[in-house]
Amino acid sequence: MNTTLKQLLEIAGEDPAARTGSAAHDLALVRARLHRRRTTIAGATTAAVVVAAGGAWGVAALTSGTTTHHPQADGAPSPGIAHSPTPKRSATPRPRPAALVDHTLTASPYTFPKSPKGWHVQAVRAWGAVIAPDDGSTSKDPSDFEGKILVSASKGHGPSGGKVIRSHGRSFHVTMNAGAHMSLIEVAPKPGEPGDDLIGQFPPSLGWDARTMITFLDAVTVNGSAAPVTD
Amino acid sequence: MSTTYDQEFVDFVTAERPALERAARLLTAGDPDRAEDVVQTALYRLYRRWSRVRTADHVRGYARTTLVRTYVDSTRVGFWRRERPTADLPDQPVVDRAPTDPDTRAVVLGALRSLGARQRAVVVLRHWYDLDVTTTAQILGCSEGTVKSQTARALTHLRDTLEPHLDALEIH
Repeated sequence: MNTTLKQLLEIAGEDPAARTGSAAHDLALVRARLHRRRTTIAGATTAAVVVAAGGAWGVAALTSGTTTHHPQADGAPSPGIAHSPTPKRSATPRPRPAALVDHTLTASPYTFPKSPKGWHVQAVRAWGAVIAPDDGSTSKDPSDFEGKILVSASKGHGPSGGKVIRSHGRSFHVTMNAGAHMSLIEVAPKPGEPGDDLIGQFPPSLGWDARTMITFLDAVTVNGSAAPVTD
Repeated sequence: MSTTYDQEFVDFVTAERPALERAARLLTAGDPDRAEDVVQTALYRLYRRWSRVRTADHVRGYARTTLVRTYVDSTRVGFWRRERPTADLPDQPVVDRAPTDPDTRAVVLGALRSLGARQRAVVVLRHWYDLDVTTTAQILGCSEGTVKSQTARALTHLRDTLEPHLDALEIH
């Protein structure tokens, strides 16, 4: 009997003793890994946040996110409160989206010229920064990002996935409701900035639509002291 | 399940995980822990890009590419111990039975283990997935010439290693 290599490989690839776990278990594992990947900021100390001089809260929000319709990536529903799971630690659902205002938060190497009103930089590392609401509705642990904004820099892969939305000459890859508790926007860094991918992770409780998230992320600047993590 | 996004991923894993596991076993030459690590890391990478993967024309091909690249990456960065090709295979009986015999599996995995990591990847892509040279080169990020030379060396080695254990073997 002649045996082909293909047949032998098929035999070798089988393992009668192997047990395949459930797909739901796999989902839990990858989400936990993503969670760690996105939130491993262990050892981070509360950022020495410098609010830019003259950075008073803007009077007018750049967008409300409540009445303006913007296309949602992947046909997913808006991350509005009605459609999204409430973060575990949210004391009360936010009655309205946080206003995005011209108020600079500086947490070197990251600068946020626009920020959600009533939010602050909770922690910063060379590869990313966590922005949390002032109202205490989220965890004080900077490693826990639920209900918070996480902006991180990575290298190895450029932006991908989601729906591409062009704004100010940049391509933003928008994934609304990427997983249970976040929306993701990825964009290539500005010329001269480090890394290959600037990633903004936004909680549903923020109440922002894609355009508002893009406006926020588009304004972010990253200086050369940032250390993007390898994706 | 909280979202359609996640449910689609679960459906994908349910359908495709067994095939990914088989490929990972071949790539890792039967190392169960390492194979599972490769599969898990590949699934993680797929999930991260799921918004793109889910709309891809060939999701299965995307997953296959991710799996093989994950394996290749692992050999580059040394997540696991680097395997050393071994000149001598463990003693195995001559296989003259139906190819469902577990001895056959052990012999083949032993032969794969004696290949270098990239040669093993080439064998899996060319002879298990039946991909052409061009596609194999694209997945591995190398030239077609490299694929051809790696394939030739790998097949020569496999033929020399496996033939003593089999009645007849066709390796082209």
